[in-house]
Amino acid sequence: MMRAAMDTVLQAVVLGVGAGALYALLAMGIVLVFRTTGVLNFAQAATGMFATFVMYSVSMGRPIWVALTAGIATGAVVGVLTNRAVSNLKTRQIALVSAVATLAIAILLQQAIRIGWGSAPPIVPFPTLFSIAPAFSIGTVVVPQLYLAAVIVALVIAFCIGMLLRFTRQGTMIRALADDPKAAGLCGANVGLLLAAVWAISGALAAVAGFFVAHLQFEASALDVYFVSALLASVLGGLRSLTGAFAGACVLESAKNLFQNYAPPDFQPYAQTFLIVLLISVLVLAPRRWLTQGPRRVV
Amino acid sequence: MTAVQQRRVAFVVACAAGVCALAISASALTPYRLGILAVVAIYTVAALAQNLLSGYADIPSLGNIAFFAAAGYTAGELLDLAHWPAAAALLGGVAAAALLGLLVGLPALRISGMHLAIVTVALVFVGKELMDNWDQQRGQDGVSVGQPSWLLDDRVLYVVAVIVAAVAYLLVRNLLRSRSGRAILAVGENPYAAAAVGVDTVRYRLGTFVLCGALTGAAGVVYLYHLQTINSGAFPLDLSLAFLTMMIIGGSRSLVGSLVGGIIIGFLPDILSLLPATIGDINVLDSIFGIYALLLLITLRFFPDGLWNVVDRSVRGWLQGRRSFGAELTQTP
Repeated sequence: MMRAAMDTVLQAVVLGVGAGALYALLAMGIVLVFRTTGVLNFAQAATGMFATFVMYSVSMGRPIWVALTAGIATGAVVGVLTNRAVSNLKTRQIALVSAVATLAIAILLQQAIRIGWGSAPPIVPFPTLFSIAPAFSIGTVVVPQLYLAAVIVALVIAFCIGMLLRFTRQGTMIRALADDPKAAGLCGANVGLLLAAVWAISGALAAVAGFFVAHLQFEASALDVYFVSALLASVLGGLRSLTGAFAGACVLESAKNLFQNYAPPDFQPYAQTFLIVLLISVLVLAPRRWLTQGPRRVV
Repeated sequence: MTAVQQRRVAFVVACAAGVCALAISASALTPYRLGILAVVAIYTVAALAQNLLSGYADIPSLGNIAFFAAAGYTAGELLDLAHWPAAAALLGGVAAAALLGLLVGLPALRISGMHLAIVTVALVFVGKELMDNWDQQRGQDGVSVGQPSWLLDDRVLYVVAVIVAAVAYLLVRNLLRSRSGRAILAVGENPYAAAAVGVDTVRYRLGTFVLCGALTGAAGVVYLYHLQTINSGAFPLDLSLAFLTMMIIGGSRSLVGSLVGGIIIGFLPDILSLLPATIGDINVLDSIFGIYALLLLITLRFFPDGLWNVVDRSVRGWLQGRRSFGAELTQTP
């Protein structure tokens, strides 16, 4: 009895970590861009789905690796274009306005998907690389292939980005940029190029996330739910730390799964509400230091 | 006449002219046009509320649609399920939106900037989940209003919408010129400095949220009667973006700007209907939110202060130029 209950909890956590890895990919993109440019990219999910639809079209009659590369490249290009569209806006309400601008881009991308591929889900299924059949199981706890792959890919990517930021010249420059763009420029960093690179990486990450999510659900708004969770996860991780975003994603998704399993039946449809109330409580109760964004404001 | 008296007379004349224009337009225009004008009025109120919160008080909110939806749903259900008298139900809707404003305002005392923007977006998703589940439990196609029947008439609804918009406009305008309004501006400008000169920042931030909720709620109640049947699909995140678009296109921190934004966004479907219904495979009206988004990006890039501020400035500059030109002429002997 105890054992069975343990297994249900473990299963919820395993699925949570797997799905968490899916949106950790999104969350890392959000955090990377926010940390270097201070822009919260609401177009992340739409970018990923747009790239995934391009992937889908390219995959017709071509090997999936070609399609994957094309999709990731599309994600990167869309990322760079988003950067061009939302940077250097001359306004005083920069927090609101840059977020609104990226939201506008998200809507444009979704329209583009609708125009290019129609509003109904495509008839030909998405070319899958992984199945949701169990890769292996421990006792009764099942680890599906797709989730295992997602966790591995997310971890590898997180590791690579971490290494890039910490140990390469370009990475150091990106970190310098995050602290003070002007000073970084004076020290010889090519600010425009580095920013473009950051946005490109973020777009490519979105494309990878879109690729995984398309295995489960393939439509224009498939990433939206993940995106909300990714946003919450990055906030939970402090909006500045990649590891924090990753951990936040896994914790949130596990909490959501547990909620869906153990909450009274009447409340179970309200998983999203539960997560957001949880997040707001964290934001309200968390120590200020955790949530500081940029230099502290002085009078 | 003193200046005050002059202004009073001007106000009365303007009101009378407005009432005449309202009566003439209500009797002369087709129900279709009246519907569009009612939407313009509704949008203007929502844009004013957005402007008060995000423009003047400088509190980012991307989730004003939640207030809008809360008022619509509450009023609709109070009429439909609880059979409240119409006036009470409508006020109940507005009160629900104001209460939601208070509920959002409380965490917003501690959360600010980007985090608050995220929370408000999340709020829209919470709202969607709640509405979806509610719709499902109800097992119907959404909430419909049939009461009071006179308010379902296009002409009456148009007049009511315009009156609500006018009252909201005057309310916000007068508020901003009052002591409280200056306090709201000060808190928006710099909360620390405002607190240092004795402004109760908590009170004014909460008050702004409540007022924004109530105004958006009033718009939402009128919108309920405009649509007559609402479900969760009537309040997408895109519409929240439309409120922000109106504020930004017209010009944040400009009341006339909100009106201009409401007019532009409200008339856009009508203007688009002049185009062929489909261009290639694209259904033009289906892409309406995409067009809002495009307008928004263009405005942000080229007129970051909003269209009205550009017009206002150039007209003023032109008038001033003329005046100084005249002054020059009279000064030279």
